[in-house]
Amino acid sequence: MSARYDVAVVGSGPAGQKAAIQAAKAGRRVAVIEKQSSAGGACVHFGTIPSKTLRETTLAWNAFRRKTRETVDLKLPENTKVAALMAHLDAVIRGHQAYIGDQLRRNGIDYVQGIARFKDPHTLAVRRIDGGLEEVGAGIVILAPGSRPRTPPEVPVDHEHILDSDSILSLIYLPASLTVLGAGVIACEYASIFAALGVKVTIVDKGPLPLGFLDPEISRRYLAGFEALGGTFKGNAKHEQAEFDGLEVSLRLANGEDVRAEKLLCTLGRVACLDGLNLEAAGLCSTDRYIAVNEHFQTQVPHIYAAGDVIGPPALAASSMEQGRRAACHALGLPAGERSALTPVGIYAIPEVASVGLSEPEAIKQFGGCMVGRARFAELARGHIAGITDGLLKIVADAAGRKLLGVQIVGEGAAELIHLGQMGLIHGCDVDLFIDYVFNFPTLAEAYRVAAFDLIEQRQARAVGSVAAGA
Amino acid sequence: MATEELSAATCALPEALRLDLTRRIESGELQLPMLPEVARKLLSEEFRERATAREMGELIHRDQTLAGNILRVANSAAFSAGVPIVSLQQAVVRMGLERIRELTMAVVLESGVFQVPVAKERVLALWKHSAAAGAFAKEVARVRRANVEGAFLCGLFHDLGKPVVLLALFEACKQKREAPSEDLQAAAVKELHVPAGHFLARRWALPDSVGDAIASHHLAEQGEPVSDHAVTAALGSHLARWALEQGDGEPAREEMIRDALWPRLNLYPSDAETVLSKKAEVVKFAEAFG
Ligand SMILES: Cc1cc2nc3c(=O)[nH]c(=O)nc-3n(C[C@H](O)[C@H](O)[C@H](O)COP(=O)(O)OP(=O)(O)OC[C@H]3O[C@@H](n4cnc5c(N)ncnc54)[C@H](O)[C@@H]3O)c2cc1C
Ligand SMILES: [Fe+2]
Repeated sequence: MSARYDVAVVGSGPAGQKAAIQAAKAGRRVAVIEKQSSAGGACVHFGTIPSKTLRETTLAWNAFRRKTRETVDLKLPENTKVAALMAHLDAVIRGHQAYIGDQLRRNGIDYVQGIARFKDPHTLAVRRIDGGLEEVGAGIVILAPGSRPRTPPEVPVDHEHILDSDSILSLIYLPASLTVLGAGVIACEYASIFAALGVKVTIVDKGPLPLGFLDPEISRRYLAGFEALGGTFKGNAKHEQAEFDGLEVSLRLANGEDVRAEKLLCTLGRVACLDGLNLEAAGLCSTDRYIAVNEHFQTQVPHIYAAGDVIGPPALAASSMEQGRRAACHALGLPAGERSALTPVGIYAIPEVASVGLSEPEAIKQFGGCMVGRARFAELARGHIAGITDGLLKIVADAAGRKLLGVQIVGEGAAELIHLGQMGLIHGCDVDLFIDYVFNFPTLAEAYRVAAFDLIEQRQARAVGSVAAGA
Repeated sequence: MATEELSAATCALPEALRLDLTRRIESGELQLPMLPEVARKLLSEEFRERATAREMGELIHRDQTLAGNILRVANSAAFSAGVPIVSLQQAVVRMGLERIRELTMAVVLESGVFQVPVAKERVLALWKHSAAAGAFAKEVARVRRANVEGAFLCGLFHDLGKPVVLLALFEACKQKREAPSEDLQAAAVKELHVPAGHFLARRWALPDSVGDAIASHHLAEQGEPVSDHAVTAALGSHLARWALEQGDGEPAREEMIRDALWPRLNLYPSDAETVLSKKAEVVKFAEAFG
């Protein structure tokens, strides 16, 4: 069987979906080739949505505990079924899948279930689930096959005792203890969620702090929150070998230490899903870690584009969508609008972390100096009401303490709050913006005002200082 | 061979006998027997004194009598404190190796070695099939990134009812001093092994997924919409039959890869290949009784 399309998209994750919809909206005949029986990609099946669902339940549980501490003594029973904690996950996933599937259908996009492999630069051979083969020809091909967990040989992931981020949520009981190897975003999210559920969690990482790409002040805040949940962080630790010994998983470190736990979660980064695509047949390089693209997401073969995790960082759902959309626009000669380099980062750990623009160390590196305003959630009425007092919002301004350069937040609501800072940055605002306008009271957003006041006080103190010095 | 013969019943089960067997099964007096080989091994000094966590783990995973009893005790009021135990590994970690060791001894002494004159070959074949189905169900779960420990139990126990029905039948016939015919054995197993297994699973407080796999694994084969647990158990069973009974031939292998149960779990021929490639390991695990 063979069919011809204007555009063929491989993968139905955030990048593939948006690419396909954009092309269909432009009136083109579009096929999405997807291995899974329903659309959504890693985002729906193994990543974003399932982990956030577990987090939501955990938070509700913790909030309940916090609020009833005085009256009810509640402890989550050991061995609780993770599946039970995610009871509404199925509904969430089904809802989201139905929405995506519906969107594809409404736009007249053909969903071809199977595994795609290049036969030649314009033809994909699709292996169907029944073993049959189908061919999809297309003028334009957009590759959005995503990424999968990286699992080095010294950590033999068996999805039973040693798990990765694809299998961690298949657990049917809460283990008593969990080692998390790695301290990136996914590692720190799961580590804190499981710690909040009462699991004894140890993060092991080669860096000195978890979330090492962030401002150390923010990372330390995350760490303090994680430790308050009972978690342990072993930094500057080089792992040598993980092994299940019949009872527990042992993780041997280079310093001879043996970190033991009932389960181990391996979160040492992700690799692009390139194997099986037969990229050579399309004239693409298959030895690189990612698919190389230009600023329009076009590969070295002009009619083939790539978007999403498969092209490397930042590897986020929102940026993948935008890349997919832009790839389709460029391929079809449509205007895509201005491209903003400003991508916010949201880390759904407990506590939540978010960042946009420059951090303090980055600003110092780039401009030689900066001024920083801080707001602690403990200073906010809303923080007290909601029992969220351990948060911090940091505004980074230029050395004069005027122009907004970046915002970092730790604390509940961070991923939502960050967008105020993002808007300020996009419009090139001064920090005074947060004082000149009225915010709702009581809200966590007031943290922006408090931090801006902090900055302005420093600015004025400096002005007074320099006047005094000049006098 | 043994397991296949049993499901190919040609005669019907007389109504009176069916009632008698059901009563015996539901009386709860039937003990799932212990294979003499396993009992010998467990009682040997060598094993009692030197078995490592890994050896112990392997043994209790291989033997459905041991596995079932460990879960039963782990889920009993004395141990569970109201928290369900849903995997053998969880039971081992929770109860500790020493307790498990004591418990296996108790099970050996209590259950009595398989005394009934059920053909030894047949019993051993049932046990091997169960172990292999469990081990393959595990591999299926692995490629799907589904829960491995839970899938194992679904495979291991899916035909739990078969030895129970045979026991009941031999007990019933003992009084008449004649062994049941092959045909009668097959008929009884065919008709009653699902409800018998389901009954035992409930009595032992095995996880719901296991009860589900026992109740629905044949419906899965008929293409009925059933849970993934049931499909996984049925697939584990097909794989076990392929690995233990159908030799190394290419046609059998091809047929196994084309089994209609794979797509039900959204698994591709390449996934099937991955699972089939574990044959040697699974067979080694399942054949290691005694
Ligand atoms: C645990 C976890 C948590 C995360 N949390 C967040 C978060 O909070 N916020 C955020 O922004 N991002 C998060 N991410 C990242 C986000 O999920 C990814 O960046 C995003 O899904 C990438 O989209 P994509 O379209 O590139 O690929 P994917 O979503 O990976 O989709 C690729 C699709 O292509 C299919 N496919 C691959 N190869 C083929 C082939 N040859 N033929 C047919 N189909 C194929 C796959 O089956 C898959 O469905 C998280 C990821 C993980 C793992
Ligand atoms: Fe059966």
